[in-house]
Amino acid sequence: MSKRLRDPVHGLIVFDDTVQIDMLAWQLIDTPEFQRLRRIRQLGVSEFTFPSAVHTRFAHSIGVFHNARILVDVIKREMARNKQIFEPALAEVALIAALLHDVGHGPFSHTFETVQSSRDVKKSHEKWTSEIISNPDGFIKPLLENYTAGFCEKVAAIFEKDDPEDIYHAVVSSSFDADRLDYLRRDKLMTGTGAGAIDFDWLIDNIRVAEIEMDAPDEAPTVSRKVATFCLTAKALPAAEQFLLARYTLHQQVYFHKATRCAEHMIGKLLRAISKHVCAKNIEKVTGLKKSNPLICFFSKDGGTVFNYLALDDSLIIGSLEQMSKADDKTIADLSCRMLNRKLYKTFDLAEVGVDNGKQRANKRRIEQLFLKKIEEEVVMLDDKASIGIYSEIGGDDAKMHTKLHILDGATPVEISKLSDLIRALENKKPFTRFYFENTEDRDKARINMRG
Amino acid sequence: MKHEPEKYVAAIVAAAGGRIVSRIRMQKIAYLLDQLGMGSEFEYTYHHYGPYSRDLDNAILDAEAFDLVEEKFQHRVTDGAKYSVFESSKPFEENIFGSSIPKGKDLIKDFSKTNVTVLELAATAHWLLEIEKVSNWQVEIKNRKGSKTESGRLEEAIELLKKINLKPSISISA
Repeated sequence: MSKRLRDPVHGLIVFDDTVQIDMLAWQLIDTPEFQRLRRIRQLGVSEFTFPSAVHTRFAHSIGVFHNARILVDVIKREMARNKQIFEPALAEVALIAALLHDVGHGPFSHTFETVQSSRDVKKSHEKWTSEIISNPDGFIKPLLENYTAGFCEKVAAIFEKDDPEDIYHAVVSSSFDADRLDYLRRDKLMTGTGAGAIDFDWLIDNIRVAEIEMDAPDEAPTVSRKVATFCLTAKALPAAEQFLLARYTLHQQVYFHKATRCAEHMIGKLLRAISKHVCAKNIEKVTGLKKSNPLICFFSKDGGTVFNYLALDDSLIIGSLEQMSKADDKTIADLSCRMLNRKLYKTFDLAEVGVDNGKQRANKRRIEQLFLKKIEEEVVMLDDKASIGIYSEIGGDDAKMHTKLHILDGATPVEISKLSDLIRALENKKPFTRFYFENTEDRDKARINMRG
Repeated sequence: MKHEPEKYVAAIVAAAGGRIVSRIRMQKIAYLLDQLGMGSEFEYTYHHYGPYSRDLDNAILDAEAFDLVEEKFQHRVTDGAKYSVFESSKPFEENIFGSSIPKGKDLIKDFSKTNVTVLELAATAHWLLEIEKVSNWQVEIKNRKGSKTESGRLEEAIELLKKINLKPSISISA
């Protein structure tokens, strides 16, 4: 019997019982690893800024699978147009990878990655995703191996590669991948922001497949590797500009909102404070958490296992705030109270000094010197890791070539900024630099010491 | 950190002859120099071009703001893809590398002429072995970098590391 889900972004999502891959997807949705995504919010603590932004990675991941099926149909269409052979087996790998792409997210997603990094655990959520999929003691691997021998390895491999190797991989990672096409619409809807509209149907109708240069651009001429990915026809240029602008404005107005970033930093500080006490004898008194709490288990020596990681989610941490508000450790107690009651640190945004980069950087240096000790103690927190450009990624490096939007100029795919003055104007990254102060007095002191 | 972060940027660009092409190249040069003892205290994480530092990104912004370095942009002829070119705004004479990297300036000159993918692979190989502690780094780098490791680029990257005494320091066959 076919299964159906209703979704505010996509309408009715059907899992057709005559289509084997749909039935596999349905079984995977039922696994504990996937069900855990109900307890991880897509936008972390954004609800502190946008009260309705409580949608989950569970709903998002199902939406991504739905988009992936649309993109696979696009590949079929374009393979026929280009007189190339469509490979269903590769398409199925991409579909399941799309469904499972977020199973490796930790609680509060990117914030948790920074907490891990501060403890010298250099494992991204993609790596966790690959490990969870391949876990021989998990529920996902047996389902994949039962579908086709070797299928699990192929799906996991998608998350291990830095670059795509074929057009099917583009479904999961490209300028128009299934992930972006869901979160742009979902996040806009659920936050209620006016920013971020895209012309989905027109974009899908104008997607073509072409080979682009994969190597990062350099001055010295080289023979660049090429890979097939999604591009757009020239007549979709306005829709393409709108698509990139949607992503840009969502970063600017939602993901990098100062209240949200402040709350993220506070959660990060709380988690780091907990991790310092894992060896304490009276851990329950110090942290408010029992020794058996999954957070304590994960932060303990050799605790960074898949089993312990899968026990972590937003609900665990939010549900522990009440207990932690009674902790002996003043930092843990204070931050837990603040998170329960939305008493955020006070923000000073360097944009207040004006747009001039020189003024902003000079004032940043001045405030850092003024509060040097307090920054070390995290009584004042510096947030200088966010920057926005037309290809913004949270915490990101230079954008990968295959995620840069290409437009067909005649038959040649060119990066959109070659054809669009609007996009060229937004290429350069603009930093967002904020300080978060535990108290109003310090924030006001920073403001008074500004030099214009 | 012995010096302000922007001085590391200014020193690297100056040592390259006053000009470095590509942000990715700048990132990998800084990473390799830090592994040799430059001491910037930049924090690195793994991103799709290998080890990357947001602290270095910020240092570049500072270097521009304090008129040490200018970032210009050029575009690849074939597809219009943009890349950065960093140029010294004024002479920079401070000895940032000191005794920790005695031939720092010569190394930077060499790195600035090295293929950017080779630098990426060299930095990634070192990262995998020394930071992520992946014992089977040769398999892992091919998993992550795919066809980038072909056409002799991985071999060239390992030779580069061998030349500067950074691990992994074994030669590999094509």
